[in-house]
Amino acid sequence: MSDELTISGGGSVAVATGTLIDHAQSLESVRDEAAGSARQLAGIDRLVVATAALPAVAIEAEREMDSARALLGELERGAGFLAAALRLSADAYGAADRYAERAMQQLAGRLGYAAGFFLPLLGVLLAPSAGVVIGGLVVAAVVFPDQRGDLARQLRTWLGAHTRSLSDPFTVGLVRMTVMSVDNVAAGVLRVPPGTTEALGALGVVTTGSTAAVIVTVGNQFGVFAETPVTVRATSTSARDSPPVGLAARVDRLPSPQTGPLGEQIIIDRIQTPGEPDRFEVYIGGTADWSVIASDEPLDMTSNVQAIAELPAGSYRAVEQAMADAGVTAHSDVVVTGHSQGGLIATALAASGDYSVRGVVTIGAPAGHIVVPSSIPVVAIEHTDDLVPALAGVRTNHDAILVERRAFEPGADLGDSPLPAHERAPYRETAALADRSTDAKLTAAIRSMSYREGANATVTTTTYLAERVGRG
Amino acid sequence: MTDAALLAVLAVQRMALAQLAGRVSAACARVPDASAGGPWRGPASDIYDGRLAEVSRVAAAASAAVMAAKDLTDRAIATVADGVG
Repeated sequence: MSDELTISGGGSVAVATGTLIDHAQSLESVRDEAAGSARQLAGIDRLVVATAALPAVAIEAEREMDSARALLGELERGAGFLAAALRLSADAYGAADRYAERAMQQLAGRLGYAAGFFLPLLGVLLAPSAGVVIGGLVVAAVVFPDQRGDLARQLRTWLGAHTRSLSDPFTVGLVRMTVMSVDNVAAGVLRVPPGTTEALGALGVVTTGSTAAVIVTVGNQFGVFAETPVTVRATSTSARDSPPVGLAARVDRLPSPQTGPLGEQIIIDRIQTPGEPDRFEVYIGGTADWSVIASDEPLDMTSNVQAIAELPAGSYRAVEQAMADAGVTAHSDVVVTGHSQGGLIATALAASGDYSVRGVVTIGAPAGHIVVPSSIPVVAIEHTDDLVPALAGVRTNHDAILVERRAFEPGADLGDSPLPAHERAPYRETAALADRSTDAKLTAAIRSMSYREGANATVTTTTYLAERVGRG
Repeated sequence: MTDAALLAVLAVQRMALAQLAGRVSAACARVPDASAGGPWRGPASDIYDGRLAEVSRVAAAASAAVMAAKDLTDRAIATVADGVG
């Protein structure tokens, strides 16, 4: 696996590798030290006034100091110029990436429109997009009502048979673009005038969320992606030594619904410090049930599609209930961490404005389309070979700090998982690398989520099990 | 200025230069090492490495000049001290 991180976002167009930014920061430090040293040397130089009485060697020392001052000035300018050039390069790379991304998006949209216009049926069936796959599941659920339970298993089997191609960054990019052009395919099928969907997209009318909302609406007619009420109960409470520090420590605390004792999906840390209001850390696991028909599990495909549509998903309501039970109020400081669907819910909670969210950490979350207020630090960790974040389409939340890395090099052993780069373990490694990054925006975001050292804080951890109820 | 006063001033100068030499040397060490693999590959890397080498050279020269000033101050102190003696 590569240790190379790409860190971008954070409210600017700067996109650069960690090395590029590291070099710029080192050179800025050299520039500042050279300037400070030159000022210090000027002060030293004033100590001895050159007179005829001075020994020749002392006058020679004065000349060396003049030479050193000139060199320090040159060093300040040279290091400063190079650092500025590195920053400009980073911005230029970012602008070029954004331009290429927009061009690719437009191209994908036009190809999608053409496919929809000329080959309505074949285009929809062959397009390798999430929307179409989900649409296919809806159709299959309707056509084969007795085999609905097998659909999730069949989907996993299909994913398992295509692991290597699905874990290729090219495929991930293609899916990201195709998700954005699902509306164009539909526009072509319906013979909507060319350019209409692009115009609606520019106005924010046609988005990933609105496309998912259409899927929910159509699916509900056939009994899939139908929401239910949810209940939440605390299953255990324990004490911890200290609150989490950094990103990897938060990833470590995420629940594992598929392997936990009861399948708990939510963990909440209550951090109590004498003389200060209580603070909270909320950890949300990923999708535990891949069925399109709601079962007992609220972290399911129904919640996934509902949440992408920015509708009140069962998993979202479950987390809200758990937070209320833990004592989180609208004024409590809270940091939310989530994996996959958990990250989607974490981002939605921050965007809701209903909580005093101090920070969001997501790993492999399809949440790039949710815009969070820029005052809330969001660190989104995504693998370029992980298909799941691409299901949100092209990122529109540019204030989030995006940490990217390729989890598996070409030809690497991908193991048994259908989506190996989406697993918790490689994301934990990436989070640890991000903790060691010197990128200014990333370190500032991590610092803003941290706790005062030596504050004598006590941490009470409660795990929650959420379940769907009242299914028809 | 008497020799004794000059000696005292040179001693202060020497101490300040020794401290500054450490600071400039630390700044030199912060210049990125191009040989460790920079942000670019190919021709862009050659241009960047050349610029970086120039910054490194100037930093080393500034550090050497400060050290030379300190050494010369040492010698000036010895010269003045001989006269006082």
